[in-house]
Amino acid sequence: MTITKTQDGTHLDLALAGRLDTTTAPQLEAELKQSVGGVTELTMDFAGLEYLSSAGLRVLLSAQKVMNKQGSMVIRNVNETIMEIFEVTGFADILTIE
Amino acid sequence: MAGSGKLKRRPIRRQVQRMVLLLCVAALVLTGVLWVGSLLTLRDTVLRDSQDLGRDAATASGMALMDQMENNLLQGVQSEAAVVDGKLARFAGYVQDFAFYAHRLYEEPAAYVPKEVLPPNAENKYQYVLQLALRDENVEQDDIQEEVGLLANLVHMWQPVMTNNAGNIASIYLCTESGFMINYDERSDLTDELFDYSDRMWYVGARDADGVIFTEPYLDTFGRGLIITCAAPFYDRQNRFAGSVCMDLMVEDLCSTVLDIDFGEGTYAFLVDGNGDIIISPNMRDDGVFESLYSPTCLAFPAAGSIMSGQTGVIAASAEIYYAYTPIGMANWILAIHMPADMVTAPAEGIREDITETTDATALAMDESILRAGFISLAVFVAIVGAVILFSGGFSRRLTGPLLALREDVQHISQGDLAHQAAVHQNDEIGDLAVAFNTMAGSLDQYIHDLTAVTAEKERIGAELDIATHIQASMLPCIFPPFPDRQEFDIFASMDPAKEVGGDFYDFFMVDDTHLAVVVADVSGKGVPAALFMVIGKTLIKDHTTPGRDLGEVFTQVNDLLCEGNGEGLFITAFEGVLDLETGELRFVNAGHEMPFIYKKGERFAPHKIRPGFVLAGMEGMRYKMGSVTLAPGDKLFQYTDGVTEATNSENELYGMERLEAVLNRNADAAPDALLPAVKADIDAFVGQAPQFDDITMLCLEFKKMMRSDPNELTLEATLENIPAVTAFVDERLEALDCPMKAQTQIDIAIDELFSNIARYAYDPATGPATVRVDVDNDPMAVRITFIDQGRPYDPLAQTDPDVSLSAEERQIGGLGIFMVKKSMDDVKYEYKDGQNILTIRKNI
Repeated sequence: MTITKTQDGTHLDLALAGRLDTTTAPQLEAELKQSVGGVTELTMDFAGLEYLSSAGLRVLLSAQKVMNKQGSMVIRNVNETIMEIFEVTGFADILTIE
Repeated sequence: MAGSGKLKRRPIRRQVQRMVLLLCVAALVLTGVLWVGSLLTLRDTVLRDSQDLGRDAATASGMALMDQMENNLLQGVQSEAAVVDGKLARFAGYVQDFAFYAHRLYEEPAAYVPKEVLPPNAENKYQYVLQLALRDENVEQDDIQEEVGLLANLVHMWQPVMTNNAGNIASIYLCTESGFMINYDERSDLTDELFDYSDRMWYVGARDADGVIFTEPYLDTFGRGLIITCAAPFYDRQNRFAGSVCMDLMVEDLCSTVLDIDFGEGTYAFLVDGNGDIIISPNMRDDGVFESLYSPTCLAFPAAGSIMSGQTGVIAASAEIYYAYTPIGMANWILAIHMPADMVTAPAEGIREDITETTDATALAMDESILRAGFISLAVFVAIVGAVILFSGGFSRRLTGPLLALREDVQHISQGDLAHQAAVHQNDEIGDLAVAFNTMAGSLDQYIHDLTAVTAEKERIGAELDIATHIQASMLPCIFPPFPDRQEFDIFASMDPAKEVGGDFYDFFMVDDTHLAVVVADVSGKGVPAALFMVIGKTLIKDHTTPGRDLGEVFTQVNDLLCEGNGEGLFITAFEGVLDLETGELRFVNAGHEMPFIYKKGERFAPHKIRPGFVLAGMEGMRYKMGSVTLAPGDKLFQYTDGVTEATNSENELYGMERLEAVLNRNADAAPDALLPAVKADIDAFVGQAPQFDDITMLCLEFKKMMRSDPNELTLEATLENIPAVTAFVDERLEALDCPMKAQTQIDIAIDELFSNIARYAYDPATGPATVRVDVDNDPMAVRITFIDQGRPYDPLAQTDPDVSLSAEERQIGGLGIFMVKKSMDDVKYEYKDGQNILTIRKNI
């Protein structure tokens, strides 16, 4: 998985490509831990993301919890497979998906 | 010269010199000691004699002095006695004259004018006058008038005598039978008119003695001290006793010369009367009581008998006091001289001291002489020692010179110049030594010549053996790991030859893609023949082990072939095993070799008891039977030669099976390339310094995992890192089936969830194998993926589904993965069977 990071003041945009699963989830978790401080607007672009597993969901959940306290988090460009997962797991109600 | 570094060098020259010097010094010192000892003895003898002489001389001279002193004393006492005697005789003469004169007055009264005598008158005090006293009151004045007048004429004699002897005479008087007394003295104040003299000693004594007498001393009634009275009787015309005429003499004055006697300090003279009373002495008591010689308290008491004997002599009253004594005839007295003994012996002591001084001076002079003699001797001693050093130095140089020359020669020889000849200078032991060295050099030369040829030959053989060793070593597989791309097994082997060329060998090779053969063998005998036979055996076994062939047949044929060309009677014990990597079955054949150790994972290394066949090359036509055992992944085979169990320590104990089994089990978890060094280290520790007699060969094979036979099944370690491999394996099969992309994605997600679960929890905290199989159903078209592990039993489907309606803050993440799998798959099944968790998912496509 590759993470493309764009930061504009308190606005952080992370574009993910590949698979967000058990192997790669720690990579995103580390990136968030490092970058999310002071961010009020977090955008994740899932255009290049093929799928995600529960490990990925765990990271997204903790990111959402953090951003609930300091701002907002938006996920963009979710493909059908991933959207299905979000819906099945109830994450569609928790996350802000555009 | 090699020893010169360890021992202190002591050249012979020095030793000889030292010995001569030592003997010489010892002799000189001994002589010196005796000589000095004699001198000192002589000195002591002379001094002792000298001291004896001094003592004798002092004693003799003391005795001589004593004699002389005695003589002096005797002479002194006699002369003094003579003086006193003379004085007494003179006064006795006076009194005698007075008596004659009185008699004459009686004979011719008419020839004398009567003189008047008055009674005592105090006015005449201190004047010499005549005084009349009566015997008693009965005497009539008239009766005596004429006689008084007559006898008063005696004053004509008394007066000059008194004048001439004023100091000696106290008074002169006469007493008559007719009863009157006429005194002539100066104490008229003290004289009584009546005085009864009739029983006085001087009156009665003179009458009875009919001659001059001296009385005992007595105290003067007038207080003039001690006096004696000299008295003589006088007679009338008819020669009848008419009275006594007396003279009182003052003893002190009389004997003043006696008291003045001085023979030296502590000496004094004294007078003893006839009764033994001391009447005159410098130590007189003044109460008129005399000390008696016979009183035990008297100093002279011990000598009293001799003193009173009437003789003249000298006597020692005690060790300290001498007495000289002699009688004074006139008064019946004795004159004695008291003398301390040291007065007598002091001069003798002086002589003794003089002689002692002389003796000391002699001793000093002798000591000086002895010291001088000692210095001279020391000088002589030093001179002799110097001479000995010079002499012995020259002598020892002459003695060791030839030895040094010989040493030079021998050094030439020892440096390899064996043609060098030692010069023989003299015909003695050293000369013999030189000859012997020359002989030895000749022998050495010949020996070295022979040895050079032999050594060259040996070196050639050794070099060839070395090459043989290299060839043999290179024949054994020695690159580890030998099959780096093989995951199914791990193998390690080692061979430590006892000699340059060993008879042991091991071998391993792939029979085909799925079969690994291992061989461990031991050729009887050692060295080159065994090595050559080993090459044949190794080649034949490898050549005849072909895929699928029965190992019993292999050994049966190899045995026949070896027997054909075995003229030397060599044989081989051998073990061969072939492992089927797909099934784990190990087929083996054993020709007289040790039993292998087999380790079952989780258990122990144990000898695998199989009946061995006969040795190879032992007998033609032998039949060998194959056996088999099944290994599971993680199991190990350890095979070795008897060099291991028969390794011997210095106490001749064998290493043995028990020790081998123990060390194997201590290292049961070790990989083969760690296990063999551990065993070898244990053997080395046991053997210690004892030599190795036999080759030590070991081989260990670990069966790590089954070789995959089914292309749709993958077995690998259940780790998170292996998830991509599983995904890739499944995706490859799905793509072959033209599986829709979405289904593939969902299956990939399921693999991620399920395999990560196994990796995390099945063997926690260790890891273990997991197998993933892909099956395809045709009606309807579906893919089944089965996950198998041997971990702890766990049914993930038993978990309740998570509540997906909760907010982010309330969400628990657990169980979400399985929930997703359930939702995305068409069927999910779990069963636990034969110790395995089996989870199958199905997805229709």
